[in-house]
Amino acid sequence: MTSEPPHYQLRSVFADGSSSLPEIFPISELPTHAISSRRGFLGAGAALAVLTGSAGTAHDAQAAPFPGGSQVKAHQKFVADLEFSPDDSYLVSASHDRTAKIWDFSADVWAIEHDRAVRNVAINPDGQFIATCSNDRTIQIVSHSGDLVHELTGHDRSVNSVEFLSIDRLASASYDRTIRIWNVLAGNELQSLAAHEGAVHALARIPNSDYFVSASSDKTVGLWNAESGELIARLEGHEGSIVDIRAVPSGWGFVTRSTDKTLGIWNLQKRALVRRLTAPWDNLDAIAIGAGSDQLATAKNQKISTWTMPQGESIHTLEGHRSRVTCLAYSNDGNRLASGDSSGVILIWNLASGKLESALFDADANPTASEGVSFEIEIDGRVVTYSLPCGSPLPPNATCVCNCVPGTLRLTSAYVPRNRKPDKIADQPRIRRPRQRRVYPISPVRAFIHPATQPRTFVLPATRPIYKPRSGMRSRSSSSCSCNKVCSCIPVCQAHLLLHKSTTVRSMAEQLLLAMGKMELTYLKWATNSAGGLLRERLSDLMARIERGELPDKDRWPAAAECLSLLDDEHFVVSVMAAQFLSIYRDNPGLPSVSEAPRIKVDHILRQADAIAWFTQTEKHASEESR
Amino acid sequence: MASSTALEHTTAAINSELFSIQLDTDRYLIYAPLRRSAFIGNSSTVNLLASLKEGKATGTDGEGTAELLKFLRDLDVVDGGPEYCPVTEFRGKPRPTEVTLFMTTGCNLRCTYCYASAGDTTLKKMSLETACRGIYFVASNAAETPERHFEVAYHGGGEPTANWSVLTDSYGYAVERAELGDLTFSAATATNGVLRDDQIDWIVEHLNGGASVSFDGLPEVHDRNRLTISGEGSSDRVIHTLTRFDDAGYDYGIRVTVTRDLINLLPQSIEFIFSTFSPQRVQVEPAYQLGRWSNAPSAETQSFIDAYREAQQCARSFGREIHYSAARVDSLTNHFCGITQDSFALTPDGNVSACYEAFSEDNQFRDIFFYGEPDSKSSGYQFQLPVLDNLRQQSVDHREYCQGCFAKWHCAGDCYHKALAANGRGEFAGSERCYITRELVKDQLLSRIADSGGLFWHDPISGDVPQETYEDALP
Repeated sequence: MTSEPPHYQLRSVFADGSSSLPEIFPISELPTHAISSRRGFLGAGAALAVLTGSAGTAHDAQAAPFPGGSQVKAHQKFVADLEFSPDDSYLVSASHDRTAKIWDFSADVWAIEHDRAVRNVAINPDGQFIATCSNDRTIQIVSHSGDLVHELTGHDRSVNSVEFLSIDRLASASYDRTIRIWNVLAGNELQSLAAHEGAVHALARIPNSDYFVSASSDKTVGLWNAESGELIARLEGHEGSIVDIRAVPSGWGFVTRSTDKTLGIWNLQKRALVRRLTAPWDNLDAIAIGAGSDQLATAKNQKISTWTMPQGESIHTLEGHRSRVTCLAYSNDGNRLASGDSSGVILIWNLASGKLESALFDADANPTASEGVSFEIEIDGRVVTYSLPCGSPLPPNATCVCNCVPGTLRLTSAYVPRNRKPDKIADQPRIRRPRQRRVYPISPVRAFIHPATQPRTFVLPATRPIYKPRSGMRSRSSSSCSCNKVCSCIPVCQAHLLLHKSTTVRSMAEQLLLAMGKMELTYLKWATNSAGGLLRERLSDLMARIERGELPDKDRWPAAAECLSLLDDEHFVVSVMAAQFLSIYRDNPGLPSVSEAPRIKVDHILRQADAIAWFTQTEKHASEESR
Repeated sequence: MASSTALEHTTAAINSELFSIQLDTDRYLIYAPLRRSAFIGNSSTVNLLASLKEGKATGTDGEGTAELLKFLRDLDVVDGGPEYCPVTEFRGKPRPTEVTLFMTTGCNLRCTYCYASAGDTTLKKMSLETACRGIYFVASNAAETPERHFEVAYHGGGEPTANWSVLTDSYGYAVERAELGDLTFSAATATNGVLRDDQIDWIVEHLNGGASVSFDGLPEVHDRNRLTISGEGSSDRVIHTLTRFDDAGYDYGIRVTVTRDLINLLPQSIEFIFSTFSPQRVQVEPAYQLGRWSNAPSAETQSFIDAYREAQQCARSFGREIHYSAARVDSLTNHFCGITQDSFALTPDGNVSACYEAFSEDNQFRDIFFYGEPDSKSSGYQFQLPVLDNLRQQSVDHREYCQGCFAKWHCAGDCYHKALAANGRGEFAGSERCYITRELVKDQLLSRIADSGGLFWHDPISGDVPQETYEDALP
């Protein structure tokens, strides 16, 4: 086949004279453009909803183009394992995104880093130590409070599984065909057992007994004395590799999952496989046994099922994952089931109702975007408001109620770079990092999980700043705000300009803060707390006015020419405010004319600050206030 | 204050390679690939840039033009300094540190579209001696480099794991060479994914370079074309392998082949893949009209592009992307693959080929791609440098036809073997793949603009600006 060579080098084109000025166009103005990022999709739809006052449109706007929609993620990748702490006060997750995360339901979330995929986690019986193992061949011992206690090395291949044999003794299983026993307090290896003729995939301590069991590619189960490390028996019965093993909490036996597609039920006393379950328990992707030994949870593809034990009667079918479910864990009170999937989603299910209770969320694991998104989700009849970075996929049943939450925290890699050197975060006193291993806090506001015993909490606690700037972070213009180009805390910066030397800037800051109104009082309180002297008084006064319902006064808005003169101000927040006013003037015929305003520059500044969506919010707020 | 800039921009120079792609009436995608900048302008913008490019007056008589020039400077399109040069060229005697071993022409599958007609051709298996000679050669070369690293890839023409003992034993030899020479090495494989559990375990344990698995998505799609010797579908086995790779946290990629009759199911296949598995990368290619598929209808159609776009949208809903080998905006290079970079691949008989599709001495383009053979007098190889030099000249910077194409630094001339199959041995004159590549590159550019806020995309190359470089293979 031959064809004319392509001619795409830029050259003059015929113009009919209808467009005399050179112009640059946003992609959204392409009449036929088919490419739209999720961010653009969300932004356009939700903005339209706000302008038209239609909540339904906002809901439509966040709907994903594919059945099931997107979901909030707890990890960037595959969730390999989950385990509740003995008192159910926290959950630990392991992921192929190289982290394990400790989801403390009442405090912080911690991330534990490995060099490669994290495969398995274990929590010791008193809940004080967490062990994580990885394809990087290491095991990390971390305290519940976030201290990295030890890094254990010795395995020659990936470490597939860890299991505590007692409060201070840990067993680990590896592709190197060994099981190793460790003292987690001393951080040393106690024993190395030549365990199997194939990879050892999983371990389980059998409660109320002296034993633990191991599952291997050699198709056998190893039965071991937990105290001495002596091999008691090698049990056969499966025709394929045994890839998972779970002890029955009452101690009568254990359950195995094999590549022969069956589920094996083993009796410890008989030391034998007593039953091999096929359909509907065949080809399972994950299993878990309830703490009362009366319930089994299984996962096949995206679907989770719970069953009575030993009757095998179906209790619930739990559907909510969009990707293959890869791990399950019962809470120890038996009220909840946690499930993780291959895309990084972790869902929490209420077993009484059989309904989805919550989805764990970490901004770092979700698509980055520069705008905030707030949405509400109804859980057991209560409406909970969440804030996520714009563009984040929404959890099931969520309804987007606005597209912009200035101040939404983005403690993502921009704030805590993965390659940050230890001295940059030395102000985290609970961190120890042997060989640059890191355990770091993510953010208290990013864990959305709600034990029934505690009141539901949600984002933006009013009593404390959600982000404390630390040394070493990029700061564009303010000592209290770490604005980067996708700054999300511009309200705080603006608040700190209330006493700027320029009357125009002072006026702009005041009017914008009034426009933001009660919706941003949290940030004003933050700004007030971080201010001193006169500024503090001024902010307190302004907050009082906002709480009284005072609205912006258009007579105090700056002239267009003043805004133009401030567009290039060296203080980024000043230029943003100027661009915001110019944008409003441009789009509203009744306001000062700005025909000479440099559109590209205004739009660019607004995009840098994500102020377009933000301003939609203020307009919405103002219109609500006026109503 | 803003108007004061008007007279400051009376001189403006463009030394960027600039392309314009018409998107709609009076809307042009303007692209400077070596500046990694793109935006959308009207015809007046194009004409202004054309004037500047020709060194004519800038016409900065208005605020808008001054503003535009400022914008173009920000994107390094105007007054951007020296431009990045992505051209490298190999010279002299080859000293590869990577070897690809075509383990066998045998296969446990009989895929309808197999480019190698694996299973229908004479069965050849690489001997351990042949494999070890190749490994010894690259390990010896690696020992003379600062990196002290070599790579071994087990590849097809068949299913490499069908020659399992040689594969594992040669790996053991590579471990030995690395230990003896104080070298590091990595190993990888391509596979059809129909593996035993012990093979899966071995791959997970040893092949730290990952695996590329052929899998077509929905089981009903996969089973239409990827059949076992007995004519049954193989999806069940491959799904098992992928699941076990996932559970082990193993790095692998999926290669999806699309036949014309199943193009419309591509989006659903991609949804199935991303909802079920966690591959590092998914590559989608239309079935090649080679081997058993040489007389089949081409899948290189507009329907493929439409389905690919829909599949890409689906992938993005999972926070992922799919890839097409020649559409790669993130890459700036004059080399599509290894054939212009002294790729060193050994056939089962031990001869040296530069091309993965020319894996056998029976290949009709043997004279073009085979450039060496074992040296009977040493442990090395005898190379035919004229053949190799001819291959080195196939990079995109030497292709006259491609010089006006905005995608040239991304597709880098695309696959030479396919070009020969499409055009014969004459001068390259384009193919259906060119059209697909341009459309998908255009999509990627628009997507990047959208992801960057909607107005422009600019991802400047950091560090020193390299100029044309030559990698002399001779020490």
